[in-house]
This record gives sequence, structure tokens and C-alpha cells, in this order.
Amino acid sequence: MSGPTQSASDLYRSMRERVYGLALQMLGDPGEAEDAVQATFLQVFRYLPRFRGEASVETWVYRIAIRESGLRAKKRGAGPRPMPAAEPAARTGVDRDEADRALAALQGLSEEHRTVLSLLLLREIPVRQVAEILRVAEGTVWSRAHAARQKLREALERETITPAGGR
Amino acid sequence: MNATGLDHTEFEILLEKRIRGEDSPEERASLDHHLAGCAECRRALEDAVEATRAVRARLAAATARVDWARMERGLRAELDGMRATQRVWVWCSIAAPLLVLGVNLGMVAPILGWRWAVNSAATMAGVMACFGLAQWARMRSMARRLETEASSVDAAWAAELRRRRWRVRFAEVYSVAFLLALLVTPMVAQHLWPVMTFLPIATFFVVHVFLPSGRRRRRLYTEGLIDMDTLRSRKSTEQIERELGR
Repeated sequence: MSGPTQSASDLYRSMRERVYGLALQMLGDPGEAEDAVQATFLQVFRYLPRFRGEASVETWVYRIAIRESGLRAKKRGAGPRPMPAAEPAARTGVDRDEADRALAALQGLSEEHRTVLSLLLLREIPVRQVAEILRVAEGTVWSRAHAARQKLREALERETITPAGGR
Repeated sequence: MNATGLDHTEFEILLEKRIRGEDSPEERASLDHHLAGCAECRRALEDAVEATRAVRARLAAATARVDWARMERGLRAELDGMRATQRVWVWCSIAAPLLVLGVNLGMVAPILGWRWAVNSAATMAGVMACFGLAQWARMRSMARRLETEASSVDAAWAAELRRRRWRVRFAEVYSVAFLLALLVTPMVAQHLWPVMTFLPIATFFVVHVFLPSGRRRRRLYTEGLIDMDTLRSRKSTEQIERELGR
């Protein structure tokens, strides 16, 4: 994504899907995720002139996206949030229920755990960059991801045992 | 522990690397060896791989449904609003010295005499004109960058930083000059003693406390570590930094 001809609009176009994917995982609601993406890029365009270039621009954008999503999640209040109906399973070719359950369970995790799993689920972000975004060592990313996945598994198991209380 | 010398938790961390496909050949061999004898890890890996695949597909489907054109229109509208606000500030900073000049010549001169009024007006107008010019330069630069066809953000960033540093320094210099002018103006009217006491204290505070603290605070914001509410809060920069563990 680097290069002397890179423009702010190119940055927006190259990152919007990833930022949306991140926000959607952090918030669990497509509408809120869209708002978070818009707020993120407004901040990016506004503060780009003051960006010091101490981290990569992508890292900076992800940090802003995490902050925007985190603020929105806090305003909304903690707790699982069901995803609205998605594409029919036949079109996506995956078990939609499983994905929705996992995304809903993700909303029940702490912000720290939700953030690390959300970043790792975006395959375009290397772990080195995840560590840079979170300002931790790579080893910490792995151990945090492991702890987060355990919590997620526990939440999904609880939901399986008591489906009525799950969502 | 097992023959590889790793405990179960370490294998679970290797599972995370495997899910991302970021395990080294040694780690891969070690994990494969462990998986051959650990049904729990095998099941955990299968579940995690399946869940990851499902969530990624779900995200891809959700992303495909986003109306990006609508979002881009919204962004452009917001940016237009920001540019309009900036234009107001540019005009305000140009109008301010003219206003000061007018007030001095029109209202103060008849009371205190023309010489005082002209000296005062010239000092104030000069400093404020510089201030306005600097604001204009900064806003113009920002407005240009707000254009969707802004200049580069990564490779050409170093040159931009060099240019910007000078501009920021310049702006800081007249922020101080502006404050000094406010303080020096009464000297023309021969009210020297309070100024001579207050001036060094104020200058020291502005140069060594206020400006650096504000810079550090703005930097925390632009780095994405604090939000706008915290930036504008009454909390001291030191307190914010302590909370962030910096």
C-alpha cells in the first residue's frame, strides 16, 4: 500500500473493506459498523496532515478504527448482540448459524479479547502488524488470542447447553 | 510435557499459529506430532478452523452488501462541512487584525491620543496578521489534504513531515508572539510594572509547560490512543499518560 502516488482516496478504497470487517466483528451490527467506518475515515482524512509517520499509515488507521468501534460498543453497552439475517447459506457456502453464533459470542468477550480475535480473523493483517497495532510483543498476541479463543469456546458451549439464554 | 519438551498450553498457542498459517516448519512438525496423540487439540483445531472459515465467509458476504458509493457520498458531505468550517476560521483570522486596527483608530485614538493608538494598533495588527497568515497556511494545507486526491501518505511522507515541522514551529512562534504582543501593548501606555512581573512568568509557562503538554496530548490523539472527549477533557496530560501506562 506504500508508494509515492498513494492518495488518501486510494487509502480509503484499499482499506475500507478491512476496516469494515474489523468494525463488524467489534460491534456485531452492520449499520453501526458502517458508521464506525465513516467516522474512522473522517478522522483519518482530518488528521492525516498531523500524522507523524512513526507507525505505518495502515496501523494508524486500524488503531483509529478500534478506538471508534470500542467507543461505540461502550456507548451501546456490553453484551452479545445478534447479527441480522445474512445471505442464504446456499450462496455463502458456509454454516451461517455457526458464523452468527461465533460473531454474537464475540460481542460477549472483553474488548481486549474481542480486538485481538477480530484482528487475527482478518487474514490480510500479518501478526507482526497486529502486535504493532496493539503495542504488544508477537508472543503476547498469540497468548492473548489463545485466551480469547478459550473464552469464546466457553461462551459457545454455554449457549449450546442453554440455548434460550444464549442470545 | 511430552517428547518435544512443550507443555499443553504451548501447543494450544501453536494451534493459533496453525489457524493463521503462520507456524514455522519446526512448529508445524512439533504440533503434528502432538496432534497425533492428543484428541482434545485435534478437535479444538478442527472447530477453530471451521469457525474461522465460517466467520470469514460471513464477513465477506456482509462486506459485499455494503453500499460503498453511499458511504463515499456521506464522507464527502462531512468533509465539505469541515472545509466550510475551516474557511470561516480563515476569514476570521484575516478579519481579526482589521478589526483591531479599526477599534484602535476609531475608539481608542479619540480618548488616549493618536500616537498611542497607532503604536498599539500597529503592534496588534502586525502580530495578528502574522497569526492569521499562519492559520491560513495551515488551513490551506489541511484543506488540500482533505481533497480526495490528496498527496501521498507513506513514501513521500518524510518530505511532508519536514515541511510541516517548519509550519508547526512557525505557528508556535507566533502563538507566543501573539501573547507577548498582548502583554507588551500596555507598555506603550507606560504601565510597565505589572507587565515586567508577569511577562517572564507567562512566557516561561507558555514555552515550557503549555505548548509541550498540548503537543503531547495532540500526539496521543493522532496516534489513536485517546478519543476526542479525552483530548478536550480537563484531565492533565500527565494524568492521561499515566492512565495509558506511558
